[in-house]
This record gives sequence, structure tokens and C-alpha cells, in this order.
Amino acid sequence: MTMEIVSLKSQRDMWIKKEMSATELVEDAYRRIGATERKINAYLHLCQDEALKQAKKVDEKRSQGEKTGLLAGVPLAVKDNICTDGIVTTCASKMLGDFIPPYDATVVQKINEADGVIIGKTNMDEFAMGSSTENSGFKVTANPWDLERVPGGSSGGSAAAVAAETVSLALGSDTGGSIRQPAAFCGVVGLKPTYGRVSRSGLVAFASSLDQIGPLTRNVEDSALALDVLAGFDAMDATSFPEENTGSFANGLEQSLKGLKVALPEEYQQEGLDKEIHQTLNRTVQELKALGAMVETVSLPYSAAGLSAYYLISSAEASSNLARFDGVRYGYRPEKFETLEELMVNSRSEGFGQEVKRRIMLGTYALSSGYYDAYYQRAQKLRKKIREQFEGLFQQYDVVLGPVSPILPFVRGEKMDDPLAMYLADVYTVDVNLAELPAISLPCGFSESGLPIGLQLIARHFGESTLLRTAYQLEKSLNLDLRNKIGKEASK
Amino acid sequence: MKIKPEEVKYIAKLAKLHLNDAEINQYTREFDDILEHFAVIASYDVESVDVNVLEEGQKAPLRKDQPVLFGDQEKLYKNAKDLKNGLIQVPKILE
Amino acid sequence: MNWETIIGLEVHVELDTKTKIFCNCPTTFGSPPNQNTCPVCIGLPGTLPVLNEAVVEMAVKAGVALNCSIQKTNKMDRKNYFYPDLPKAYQISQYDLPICTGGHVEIDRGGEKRKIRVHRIHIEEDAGKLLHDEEEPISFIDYNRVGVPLIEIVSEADMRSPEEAVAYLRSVRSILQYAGVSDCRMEQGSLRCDGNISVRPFGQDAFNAKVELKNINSFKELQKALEKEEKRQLELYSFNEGDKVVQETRRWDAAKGKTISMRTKEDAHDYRYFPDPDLKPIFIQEELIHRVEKELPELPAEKSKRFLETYGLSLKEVEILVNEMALSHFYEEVVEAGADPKTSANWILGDLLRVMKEKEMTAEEQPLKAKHLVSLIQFIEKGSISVTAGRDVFDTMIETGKSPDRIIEEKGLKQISGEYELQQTILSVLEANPSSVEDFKNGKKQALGFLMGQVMKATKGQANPQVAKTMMEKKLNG
Ligand SMILES: [Mg+2]
Ligand SMILES: [Zn+2]
Repeated sequence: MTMEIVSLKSQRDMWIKKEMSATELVEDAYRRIGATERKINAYLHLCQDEALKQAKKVDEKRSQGEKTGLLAGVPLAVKDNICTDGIVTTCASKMLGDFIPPYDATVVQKINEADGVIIGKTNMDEFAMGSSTENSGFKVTANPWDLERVPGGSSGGSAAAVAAETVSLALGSDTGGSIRQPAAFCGVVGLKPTYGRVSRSGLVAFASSLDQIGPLTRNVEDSALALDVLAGFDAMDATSFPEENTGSFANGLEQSLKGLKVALPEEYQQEGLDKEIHQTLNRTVQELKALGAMVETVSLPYSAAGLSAYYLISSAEASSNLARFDGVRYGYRPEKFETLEELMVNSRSEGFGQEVKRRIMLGTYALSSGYYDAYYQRAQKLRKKIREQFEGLFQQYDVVLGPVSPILPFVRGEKMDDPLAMYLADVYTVDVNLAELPAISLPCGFSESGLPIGLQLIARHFGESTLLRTAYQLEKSLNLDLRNKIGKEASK
Repeated sequence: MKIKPEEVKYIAKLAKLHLNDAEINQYTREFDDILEHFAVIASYDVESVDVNVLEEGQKAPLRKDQPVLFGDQEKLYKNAKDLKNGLIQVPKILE
Repeated sequence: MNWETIIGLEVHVELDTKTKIFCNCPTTFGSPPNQNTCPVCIGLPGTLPVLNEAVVEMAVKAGVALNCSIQKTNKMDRKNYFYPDLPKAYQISQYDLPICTGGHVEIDRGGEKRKIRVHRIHIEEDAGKLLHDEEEPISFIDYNRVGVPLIEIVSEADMRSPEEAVAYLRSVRSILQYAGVSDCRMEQGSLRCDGNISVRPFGQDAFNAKVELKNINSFKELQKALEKEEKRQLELYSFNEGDKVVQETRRWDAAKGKTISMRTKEDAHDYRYFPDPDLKPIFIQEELIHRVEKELPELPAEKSKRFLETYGLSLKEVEILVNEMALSHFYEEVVEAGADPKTSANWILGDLLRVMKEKEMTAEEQPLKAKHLVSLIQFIEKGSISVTAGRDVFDTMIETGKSPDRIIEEKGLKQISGEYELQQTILSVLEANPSSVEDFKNGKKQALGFLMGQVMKATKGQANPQVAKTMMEKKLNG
């Protein structure tokens, strides 16, 4: 079965059994990219030289009898807002079109230490701001299930790369749904870990208090394996959580869901939720019950404020995080400037795209004197309320179930001139980031037109094990065929 | 109207962005819609919420005071557009 | 009308840590450009700050030394503004929850103690340094200083004259030096100061518009800048042009000796402060405060008291010695090695300060070794050399670093105190000057002075004047 080739675990097993060398696996990945990329545009840069060098190193390690890591031989892709030493990292922005970091993000170090092989950097919405990957400064990525449609965003390149079966693992970042929503749009598994679980060092910040790196994979087991590699305290990130070694997240996946308490918020099934998604949600509830779980409807009254609070806080932080891009030390250089003021203003005005400028403006406004209390401060208070509300819920329930997106993957260009409509599509994902919770997006069905539908499971802080177990059992019993035409072609 | 073009202009100045008139009008319109939607946050009573009640669990890990040199200054400043004798060069700064 | 001047100071002090506030770069002064920088302090995309524990400890120390209460929970905020010396375009500082609040410092005003209240102390990071090309319209940035840890000490508007402001700054400086928080070297920029000044008629409660003065680099400049600004405001009010005194920031131009307007309240910054999401709150443990209190060295006030009680010095002398930590340490070293406290103070406050001033040296830089000064004092005490010769030896010690016995030896300055050695010289002088001898015997006592001078001349200054004088008188009267 060709599908097995692109699961992380199967690739690793093939390498361990010496059925394929890391070099062969990497070459196979580039062959798959060659077959699909013209249609999909998932990648911003490929780093063949570095990848083949790393693959050779991993193979040599084995022939020397050295111990090898969890990702030995596995080719993988990294979202282009994660810094790679010596490899251009653009955040899909003209502002950083030629930026080469002099250091590796902590997750990249961890991947290298685990003997994984980074083969390229994936496309995204500029600085991770967007839900369709249409805001990229360089190219537009297509959804492998329907090339006319968007792959979601902002980690659209990563989701499409996995859905097109070019890699079994791609890293994304999730600030308000940017892993979960493209995973749902592309029929793959996307995990947003608990805030602080994975180091943010080397992730170019969009909104520091919300950003979290996580894996996009083809199945839940791979997601758990990837989290094993990525998770852990990092002295370079003061917001990373000092935790003890909890063992592998892949352990315990087989445990049954009998007695699991699932909450279904009524606020997550309101007007605006696509009918087919709602049906999938209902069917999944039945599936969970059949697996022995107890599902109850609950209320999250503060979640109606979530979207506004999220956009105010994330834009406020972004306005400050992106202030460093002033053309002085690195990045885009305008053609015309005489004075320092012109250097700064022209760099920013020409280097940033529309959506980024919109968020910077919105965030600057929310923080400016006279508006701080009404917007930023109030949003923070609501954030605290939302957090407390979830804490209360998790005293009684193990998992929260809900939709990821209220809408199916949409046609490119459809929402580009209505920013508010685009923002509203994030309504079900942002609460998780505000409350710093872990959540997983899992393919749970298809629309009549054949588009994948993903739902999300949310657990308490550091409850990834419960989350992964629930998702794993659900995945097994749903037993969906998640291969698309592009992916099948790539595997030929 | 939640926001006026003059305010958008002022915000652009704070954010060091140059916007042309069309952009100012566009952002004014969009922000008006967005802020209209955000008005929902005013409907909650959060007066009693104190965001400055800091929880011990949020305690920051601190760093030891031990010097380490980055070392590779050439690599560190490789992205600089104008470098002279190790210094970043910019148009004259008037203080 | 009688006017009252109101002054408050904001003092920035560089903490004496080994590494920067948020990264492991060293804080060494005078390194080659951009040598002490890394991805974190130059704010490269993706980098995160991690707070240095020594910064927290030193800020607590400063708070304890300045009688503040330490805030058990405090946090870091971002102050947003664009400037090329600020690589992240925000300064990480503390806004509404600073680490220390509500302290005070005592200053001495003509023997009377005055309390100047400290409003708050907060932690923040320093910015880079800008250099300007002489010929071309370009500037350069050196980021070595970016991220060097600072505390900002904000006083209440409690000072009533430029003199009081200077006294306050001196006091803060010496307290922090003694506490081991900072070396407070104004010439290296590790102590910087902005002043807020306004004037109002006596008896008026409301404050008039205040002016913030920036770019003050020494005590002398602080005094001058405040005096100038005080005068400017008083003149405007007295010519009925009080409306021209507006709330604004003015830059002190030391070369021109005047203040120049930088920006008014209308175009003031909107800093958009908000809590830094990259840094969690700081929690100060009770144990840290206790340890700091226990380990705090003797501070200037206690030292002054002890000096007054132990060494029999005047208040003025103690003040000068104690104000300069290095000077007071030097003094104690000399006294502890056995030199007379009063004589030691005389040498240090007289000759040493004179030399330091001539050579523009700070107390830390002055080269004199305590043991050399002790032995010089002892040579004089024993009468081995004269006080005049002692001055010569002192200057030579500073110049060459040689020990006093070697200098006395080389210069042949040993004093002749033995009666036997002096006998022949005195007899010769009396023989050669019969008219002066006659004058003395006729009651002209000043003739003795002339004769003594001749003795000193004949011995090239080496005669012990006391011994020689007694012998001479005996001969003349006998
Ligand atoms: Mg300050
Ligand atoms: Zn550094």
C-alpha cells in the first residue's frame, strides 16, 4: 500500500528495517514534490543540498552503529516562519525576502537531533496573518482536494504538503487556528499543543502570548510521535513550561474511551455553521457515544466575545512584534529613501502586505492612549474569563468537541476583499489560543462535494495525552479514506 | 462612525506606515465594520476582573549571569545592507 | 514676589552584572563595535528575552539601600517607539508594577538633614549607541550597549534648588556604589540623569508647567543646567510671559551652556505600553529580600557616623571622604595600617585631592598605595624627613609609584635631627652673621627667623626645624 509510505511511522520503520536509506527517502520526497508542486505551490524554498547532507549523516550514523533519533531518516517540511540557520526564512513576506537567520529555532535543533531531515520551507499567510494562505507575498497554495480552493491558513503550505503526500510531517504554527483550520481544509491531522509545551524560540512572533508550534501529519499516531520530538522546556523561551519527562505521547493511544466525558458547547453549533459540518459534528457525537464516551451539551457564554478579544490581543501584540522590521538592520530595502524616516516608513509601507498592515494598524489603535482600556485591557479581562470558563468545564469533562471552521474550504479570492468575513471564519478556533489549551483537528467526514471536514477536540492544559487518545480512537473507528487524487499521483 | 480618517492617519504615523488617501479611506471603512463587530466586548461586565492579579504559577524562569559570546559576528550581521567597520550604517540621525 | 523651585530627578543606573538583561552577552565596556551582541539583543526575528537573575537581585539591593518597599509581584512591559538605537522598536521596561516603590534618601543641607523621597525604581534595558559621521550625512549604530541592564530611579519632586538636586544625585550615587549595585561612572555613562524643573510663587499649591531636561553628563552640568533653566523660567514669569513656560523636553547643550527645546507635550510620544507577552511576571521571594538585607554592606550614612565617632574628623571632612567610596576605602586602609587618623585625612583631603584634580583622576584611578602613604606619614612623624620634604616625596610617589624610603634615599631628603650633626652648622651661621645676633640680643626677635633660614639653606632643608630652633635659641640666650 503506497499510502503507508507517507506516514511518519512507516517511513521510520522502513529506514530502521533498511528498506530505504534516508537519502532514498529524501530523494523520494523531492520526486513527489516534482510531481505535485506545479499544481499545489506548497513550498517557498527547497533545501536539497542541506537535506541530502543531513540524510547522508543519518545514514552514516547507522552504518557506524551509533544511536539514532525518533525521526531517523524522515523527510519533513517546516513552515517558513520558523528560523533555519543558513536557510532563508521569509514568513512569506517581501519584508524578509532575503533574510537568512544565523541560528536555528529550538524545534529545528530538536528535529536535527532526532535525525529528521528538513527538505523545505512551506508557504503561509504573510507573518501567519490569515486563514487562506492567499496573503503570502510570494505564491498562492492550492488545496490538493480541489485546486480551485484554498488550503486554509496560515499554515496552508504545511497542510497542503502533507495532503499532497510529499511529506508525512510538516510543522505549522497556530495563533488563532492556523494549524487546525488548514488541517481541517486539507483532510490531515493538526495539533496545537498547550501554550508553553513547545518552545517558541526561533518562531518569528505574530502574537507572542498565543503562538504555538505544532505538527501536521496524516494520522494521529504520527502527531503523537512528532510531539515527542518537539515538546519540552527550553531555557531560551521564558514562556516554555518547566515539565518533567512524561514519557511518549504515543503510549496509551490504544486505551478505550469508555467513561470519557465529552462536552459539546451549544455556542459552537450556532447560526453560520455550515449544514454539512453540523451533520458531521452530530455523526461524530454518535461515534463517540458508540465508543463508550458520554457526551453532554454545555454552555460557554463568554465565547461570543472570543473572536473580538482574540483579534484585539493578537493585533496589539503583532503591532509591537512587527515594529522591529524597519529596514535598518536587515530585510527589505526600499528603492527610494533619503532620510532615516524615509528608510523606515518606505521599508514598512512597501515591505508589508495589505493584511499585515491592517493588523498592525488595528493593534496600534487598540494600544494607543485613549483606547487601551476600552479595547486591549477589556480584551485581556475577557481572555481571563474565557480561560476560567474552560477551567470550570474541565473540572467535569475530559474533552470538548466542536467544529474547526464554520465553513468548507472556499474558492480562492472569494473573501479577499472582506476582511471581517475572513476574521469571522476563525470563530471556533481562537478560544483555544486565548485559554492556552491543547487542541487537535481531526478529519471526521466529507461534504457531498468531496471536501474534507475536520472537527476539533480540546483538552485541559497539558492534557495532550487524553486529546491524542480520543482522536486516535475516533480516527480508527471512523476509518475514512483520506487520500486525494494529487496524493495518489505523487505516490506513483 | 467608530473611527475617523484622521484617526487612521494618526495610527499610521504611530506605526510608521505611509498610507495614500485611497488606503486611508479603505482602512477607515474596514475598521468601522470591524470595530462595530468588536463592540460586543463592551456588553460584558468585567469591571471586577483584575488582570494584574498575577498567579504564582506564571512565574518566569530566570537566567544565570554567565557570559557567553555569540562569536560569529560576520554571520550575525550578514543580513545588514550597509555595514562599515562592524557598525550598521544609516542615513544621518538628527537628535 | 518670592519664588520656589521644584525639582525632581530621573536617574538611570547601569547594573554591575556580567551579562545583559535578556541574553548572555557580556557587558564589558569599550569592546569593538557590535562585539557584545547576539541574535537576542539585536532583536532578530524569532528571538526571545530571558531575564537575568542577577538583575532582579541587584534591583532589590538598590531598593533596600534606598529604603524602598520591594514589590513581591512585578512585571515587565513594552514601551513602543521607533528609533534606530532600539533594535526591537520597543524597550522592555516596567510600567505600572515596578519592582520597588516609595523610598527615600537623606541629604545634608548646611548641617541640616533633608529627606528626598524616591517615588519608584524600575528595571529596564539600555539602547544602543549612535555615532555620527563628521563629513557625510550618515550615522552608525553600535549595539554593544543594547540590553545592558538599567534601573531607573524616579524621585518625588522634593528638591527645592539645584544644590539639593546635586546633593541628592551624589547621595544616590554613593549609596548605590556602596551597595555594590553599580560603579556609577558618569563619564562612562553608567549613571545618567534627567531633571524635571518648575517654579511657582511661594505659598501656591498647584505646580506650574514643568520642563524635562535631558543630556546631563556630570554633577557640574546638572547644577548648571538646572540653574539656567530656573533662571529662564523665572525671567519669563517676571516679564509676564509665563505662558511661554510650557511642558516640554529641553536638551542641555553643555557647549553653548543653555537648554534647547526638543519636543512639546503636543508631539509627545504615545508609547503604547503593554505587558510583555514574552516574559512572565517576576515573583520576589521573601528569602531574597532577607538575604539582600543581611548581606548589604555598610552604607554611606552608617559609615559617616562611624567615621565621626571613631576618627575625630570634622563633619565636612567625613562628608568628602565618604561621598567617594573609593576614597573612603583608601582612607580606612591607611588608618587601619596604623597611621594617625587626623594626619591621614589631612593628606588625603589636601594633597591627594589636589593631585586628583590636577590630573583629572577619579578616586578609583588614583595610583597611590595605602602602605606608601602610611610609611610617608610615619617618616614625618618620627622626624626622619621634614613636612616640606614630605610633600616632595608625596608628589614623586604619585609620579613614579616608588616607595617613600626609596625616594628619600634617592633624593637625600633625610632630616638631620641629631644635635651633634647640627652643632657645627649652627655655630658657623652665628659666626657668619654677627649683626643678626646683635639684633636679636637687642630685642629684634625676628632675627631668629633669618638665622633659621640660613641653617635650613646650609643643610639643604634637611635640618629638623624644631631641634635646630631650640638649639639656636639656647645659644643666643646663653
Ligand atoms: Mg526609562
Ligand atoms: Zn546578546
